Amino acid sequence: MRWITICRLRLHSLFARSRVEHDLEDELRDYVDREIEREIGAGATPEEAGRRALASLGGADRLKEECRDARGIRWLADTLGDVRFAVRTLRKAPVFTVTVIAALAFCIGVNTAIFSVVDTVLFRPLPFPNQGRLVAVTEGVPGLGFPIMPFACPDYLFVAANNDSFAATGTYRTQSYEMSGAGLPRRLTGARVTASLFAVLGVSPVYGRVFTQEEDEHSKGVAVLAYGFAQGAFGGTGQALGRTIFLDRRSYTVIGIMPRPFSFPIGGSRFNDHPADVFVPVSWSNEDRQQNVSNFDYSMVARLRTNVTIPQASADVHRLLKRVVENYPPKMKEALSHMPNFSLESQTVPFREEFTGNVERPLLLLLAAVGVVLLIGCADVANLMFSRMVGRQREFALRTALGAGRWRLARQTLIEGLVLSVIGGALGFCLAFWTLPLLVRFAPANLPRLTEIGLNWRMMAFVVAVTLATPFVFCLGPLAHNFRSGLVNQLRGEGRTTTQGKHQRVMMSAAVITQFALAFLLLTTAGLLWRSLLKATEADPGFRPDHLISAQITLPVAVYKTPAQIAGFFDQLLSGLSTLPGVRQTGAMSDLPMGSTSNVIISIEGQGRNTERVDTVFCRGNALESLRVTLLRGRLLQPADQIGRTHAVVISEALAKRVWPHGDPIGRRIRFGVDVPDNGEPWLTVVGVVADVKARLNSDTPRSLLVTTWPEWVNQMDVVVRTSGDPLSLAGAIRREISRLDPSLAVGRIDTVNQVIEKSLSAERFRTWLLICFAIAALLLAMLGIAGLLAYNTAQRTHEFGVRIALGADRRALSLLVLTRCLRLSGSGIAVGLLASIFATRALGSLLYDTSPHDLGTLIAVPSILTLVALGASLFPAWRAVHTDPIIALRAE
Amino acid sequence: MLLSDIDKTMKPNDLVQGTLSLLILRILALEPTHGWALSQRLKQLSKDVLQVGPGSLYPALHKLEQQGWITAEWLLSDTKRRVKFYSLTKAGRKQLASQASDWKRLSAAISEIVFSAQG
Repeated sequence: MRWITICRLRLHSLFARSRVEHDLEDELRDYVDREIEREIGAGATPEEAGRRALASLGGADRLKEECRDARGIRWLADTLGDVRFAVRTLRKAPVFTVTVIAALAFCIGVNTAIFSVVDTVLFRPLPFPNQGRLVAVTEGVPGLGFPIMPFACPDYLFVAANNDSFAATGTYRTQSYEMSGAGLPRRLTGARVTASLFAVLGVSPVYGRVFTQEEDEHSKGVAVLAYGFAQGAFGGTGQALGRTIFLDRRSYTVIGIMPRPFSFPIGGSRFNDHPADVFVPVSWSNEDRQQNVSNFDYSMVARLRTNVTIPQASADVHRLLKRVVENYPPKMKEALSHMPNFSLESQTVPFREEFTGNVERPLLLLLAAVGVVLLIGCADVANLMFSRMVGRQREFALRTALGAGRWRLARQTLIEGLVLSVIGGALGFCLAFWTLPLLVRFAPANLPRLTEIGLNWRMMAFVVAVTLATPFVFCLGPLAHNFRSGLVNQLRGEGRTTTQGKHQRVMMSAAVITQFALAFLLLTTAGLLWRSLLKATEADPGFRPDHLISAQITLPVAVYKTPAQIAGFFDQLLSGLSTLPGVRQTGAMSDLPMGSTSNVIISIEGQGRNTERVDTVFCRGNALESLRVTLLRGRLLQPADQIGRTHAVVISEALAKRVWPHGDPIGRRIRFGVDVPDNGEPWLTVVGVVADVKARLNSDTPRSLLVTTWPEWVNQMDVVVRTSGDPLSLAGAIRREISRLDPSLAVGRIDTVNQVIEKSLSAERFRTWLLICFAIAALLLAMLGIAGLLAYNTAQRTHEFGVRIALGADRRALSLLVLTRCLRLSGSGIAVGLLASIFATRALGSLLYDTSPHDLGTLIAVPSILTLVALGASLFPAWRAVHTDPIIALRAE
Repeated sequence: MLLSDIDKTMKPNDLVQGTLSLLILRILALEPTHGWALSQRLKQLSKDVLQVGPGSLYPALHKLEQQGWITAEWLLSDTKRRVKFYSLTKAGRKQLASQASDWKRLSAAISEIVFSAQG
């Protein structure tokens, strides 16, 4: 605690300075008085005594100064003085001060906001105790095209029971539920979880309790709610406990409510990527427990035992999965023995990798972009400070002559910088504080940990660090100059005819060239992303998304128990919809082209054990015709094609080319699963080939798609309706039609297919627009930089221009002088930026769709924009140069 | 080293200054006192060998005060003058003990070398 005392004492010395000074005076006077008394007592005359006493002090002022030094506050007092001085000088130059502070506030603000997002998503520890020990475990069959998958139920159970690496394991899968019992029926995301999951994560409910393993095993109807959901649905967390809700028409009692910040699964995870509103027991049936090599749906999370490393755990799981395969039933083993590529692999990674994988690169790109903006801003400020320093050269020279040390002047410069950046930083922090909610609102919904983004101490620490570090960057040039240029030179400069020193000129030009090079990089990046986004939006999805509306319908299994009931509902709905005015065709399909599709293995007749991995879509009615997919050969599936009657299938061109590269696919047969005698699946006949339909607009990989008739046990379908007019105007009618058939059925979303496509690109759109904003900011800052430098140069040469004009110089030649300098500066910057971008843009790689990192259009547009901006910035200085009035210029002498 | 030369011939270096603070702490341990009396007491106790002038004394006192080892109090003397009285703090007492034992070790070691080398 001694340092607290010392701080208190120092502060006292600092702030009660006049008191302390007064005391020091009194104390020394007391000494002198006593010394005089002593001398007189020893027999000296009063005059002699006084003289000796004073002499013993050895110079009162020096002694006082030494006492002040001893109190150790001189540097602090000096600094305060410097701050006061800096504020005074800055107030005398309002334009300079406001420009610099605005630039700094903007740069620090955007950096803070973006840092906050990146930090929350990528770096901040997860809100689980001891989160570093959490791992995500996945399975995979790389040989068949499935490198990473969640766990299958029996595999999870085996690993959970037999491992030596994990202190606890849990698993979860999300699914959409219809909820009723609290307000209107609606759809929500539920997570089926093992009772152990909460313990693995180390979170406990704020109200009530979580369910037990026993409740899980006995399929008890108990539910734990997310905090926000409990509040929204029941108007308060207190009211929710003990209430009954219905999920897919099955009753559940609310037994617990999780704490507010608990949002799980974390949005944007690799699998099961939507935060759940309700947690219910996973309650596996005996059938579930025996579904080997299928239904890879359960995300596994585990807590490592102490002293177990991830590689050890990984090896352990690997070993266990080998045993899983050995323990498969003989029939399964026989089937697998025909698949040489089958091997069950696994990956164990830190839990955060579950959700950072997809977003890491774009987020780091954004962080780099705002870092570049900050650098450009610093270069601006550095140049402004430089030009100010030249104006103050005589002041500095005078102070040096009067004995101010170089370090003292350097400190003065730095303190001026600090004052500017502290004000800028404070404003920047406010800016970040206000823009963060905006940023969160426009962020794609699948950005992980979106709800956690906000004010926190890490963000504050970042602001403070950037604010304190920035002056050292932008004062670097001015400081170096301060230490280089000699006193004599500065005094000899004499003010009025001063042209800048060569050294300084080089430094300032270098700053502007750097700005242009950095702005080039940012503009190129933004341009490439924009091109890529445009290409993606304009890409042919393989069908016509206009005039299409879709409604997602999931029938609760508790009520719709038989295939006949399910088929009955959908057939009635489709025929009802097709009679609505403005409807041209309708159909139902298990997934929209932009949605997730089920991956399955098929075997091909006559090709032995060769298997193919395909995306499968089931459809009914005129689904394919409604989509207007491009038919290449054969025919589309029609309402008459029904399961059991015709075994028809339509395949994509990509699949046709893979499987039958030379022959005609029409009439060939395929079936699900491996071609073994007791496969049990019927053979399906290829009746048509359609052009490739994309899963995502910005994916290049041709997709093996297989469309077949709908097995009637599938209870979740997207109804698609092709309309003649505005598709959205039919939303109400569709909703009415559904509730006419089943009034208590909750409909998920009703969106036009264009909206669905739009949403699928939201992450790309978000990062592209942010980057464009940053690029524009960089452009403006670079413009400020070059305009400032040219204006400054012109002002410096007013005298020279005046003389030239007086001597009859061509005014146009003078303006050319300014323009040439402008072009030389921006041109050098562009050249450097071009060279740098050739290497740097390669890092964009996978973020670009159908756009080369060296896209010619971008590489032409960016330098043109930069040159135009530079020329625009030079217009005013050039005008000034031309219109220099020789009389005034010379009179200024 | 001649401590009596502190004020006359040299700027107090680290060792001497350390010694001076030890002396001040030691004297203040006896009773609280003011600067002048302290210098007199120092002279008297050292039988006129150590004479510390105000030029070294006051900076040393201020430094010790700033470090929290001694504390000062303004009192009115019998002649109605404001007098700054210094006294030892708790931390100062600890510091004195440690400095004294350091000094004891150091001086013993120096004596050992100086006198054994002579003898």
